Amino acid sequence: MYSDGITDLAFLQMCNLPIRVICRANAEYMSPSGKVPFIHVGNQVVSELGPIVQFVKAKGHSLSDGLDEVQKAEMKAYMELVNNMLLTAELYLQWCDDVTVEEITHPRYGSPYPWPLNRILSYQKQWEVRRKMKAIGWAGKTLEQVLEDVDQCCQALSQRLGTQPYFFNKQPTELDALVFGHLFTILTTQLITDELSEKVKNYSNLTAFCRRIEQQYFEGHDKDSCTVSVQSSKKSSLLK
Amino acid sequence: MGVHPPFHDCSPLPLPAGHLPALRTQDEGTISKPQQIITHLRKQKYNADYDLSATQSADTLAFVSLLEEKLLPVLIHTFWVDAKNYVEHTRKWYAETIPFPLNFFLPNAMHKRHLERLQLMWGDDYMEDEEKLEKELYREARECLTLLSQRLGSQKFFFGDSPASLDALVFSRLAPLLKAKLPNGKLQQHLKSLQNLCNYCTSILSLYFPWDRGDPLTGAPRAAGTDGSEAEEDPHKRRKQLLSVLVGLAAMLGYAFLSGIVSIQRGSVGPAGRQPVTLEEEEEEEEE
Repeated sequence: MYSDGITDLAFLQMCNLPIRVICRANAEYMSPSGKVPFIHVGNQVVSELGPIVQFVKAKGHSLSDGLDEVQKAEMKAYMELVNNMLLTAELYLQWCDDVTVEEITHPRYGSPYPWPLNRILSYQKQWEVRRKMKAIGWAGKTLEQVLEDVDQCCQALSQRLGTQPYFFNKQPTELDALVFGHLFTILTTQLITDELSEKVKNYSNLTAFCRRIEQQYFEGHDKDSCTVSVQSSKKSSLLK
Repeated sequence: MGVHPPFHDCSPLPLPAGHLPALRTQDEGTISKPQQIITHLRKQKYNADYDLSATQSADTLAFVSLLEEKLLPVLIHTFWVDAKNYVEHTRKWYAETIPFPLNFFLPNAMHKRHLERLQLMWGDDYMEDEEKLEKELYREARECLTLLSQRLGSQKFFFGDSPASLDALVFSRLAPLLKAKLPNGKLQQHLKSLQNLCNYCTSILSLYFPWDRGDPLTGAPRAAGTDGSEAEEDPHKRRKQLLSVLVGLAAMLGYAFLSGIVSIQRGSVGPAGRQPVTLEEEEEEEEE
């Protein structure tokens, strides 16, 4: 998942750890949990944000040590909110919205493979995702309802962030990395309609937050990401 | 969803597709989805979150997500999928409380539904590997309980002195876990070690469920011993007993007739039965 890659990258950048990004078609199969991205450190392989955070913490780097108990509880709760709403909404849009599936997801997911493997694998993935959506009660939702959920989530994040630079004031935490990963993906991924990114753009403090993190941690790094495409003339004034 | 307190007096009316909880309303019939029930109550101007600030509303959404993602699936596993707990506690609990004839199929239907849901959510890895389940998912559920305890602190409710919808949700998840007598109670033990959460549940029980004297959640038999509720229960109990006896009798008679053990002999007094007439005819034929 693209947003997970950005999240982990942002987290590792925030910890000031040197990293190298490599793209592989069989990444899902190399990962110990079947999910991407994963990090490869020495002879250890760790996948998914939770285990990566634990691994990095065991090596002496942590972003949330300065938080008190109540703040840690709130951070974990907001991380679940993002996973519950934003990640699921992204999956829904990618795999359950017929137009997007046909025109964007199938070609993109199957691109490393020859025909007919590309179609078989992407149909298989679609079937898996739809089953999971059914289990969590999202299969019956319409696109409007999903967008409404995204809006609710963004509203909660926006209210929590307020006018602070990061969610827990002066220092970034795992939550900042996670929110950045998802919002950046939503704002920069080309889809059939702009409805999803419009929902995020309604909250100016969230777009400013994304821009700030991008400039602070990704400036000068040549990744295959483009800058946040927000129509605003205030970009340079946010640099502090 | 998840776990529900037993009903003391359940009319045997059909539930929507066997779902609980179910709210009977005057205008909209019976509603069974919790979110729809809450929406209906809000339309009737009952809203527990009216006084919350924007940040508190945002926190509510976040903690609801935490509960639903980390705690609820493990609670479902504890009550409905863990073999010992399901057979010795949950199935008995529901079967004793739900009225006839729903008590025969509703608990099993719910068990199958929950099992399927967990299989889809967790995949076969966790369902088959007990150790992995315990190490990762139960650990996260225990962490969730600890986080709730840290957030609650020494406050009376999550957002101060008056309860909000988050309190209702947290209570509904924790109270059954706290009070049920589970044979396999690892998660329960962890909850009991968090004193502020135990006090929180107990105080809500005494404030909002005062009619349940003693322990309301440990089972119908104990609740039936409460004064005043016996008289209410009796008509239903007798009706159930009578129905059971009638159904049993009908089943036995039906089987007896179908298998030919018993057949009705039409007597010679009164209008002549078919058989005697036939015999006479045959005799006449033979004579001829």
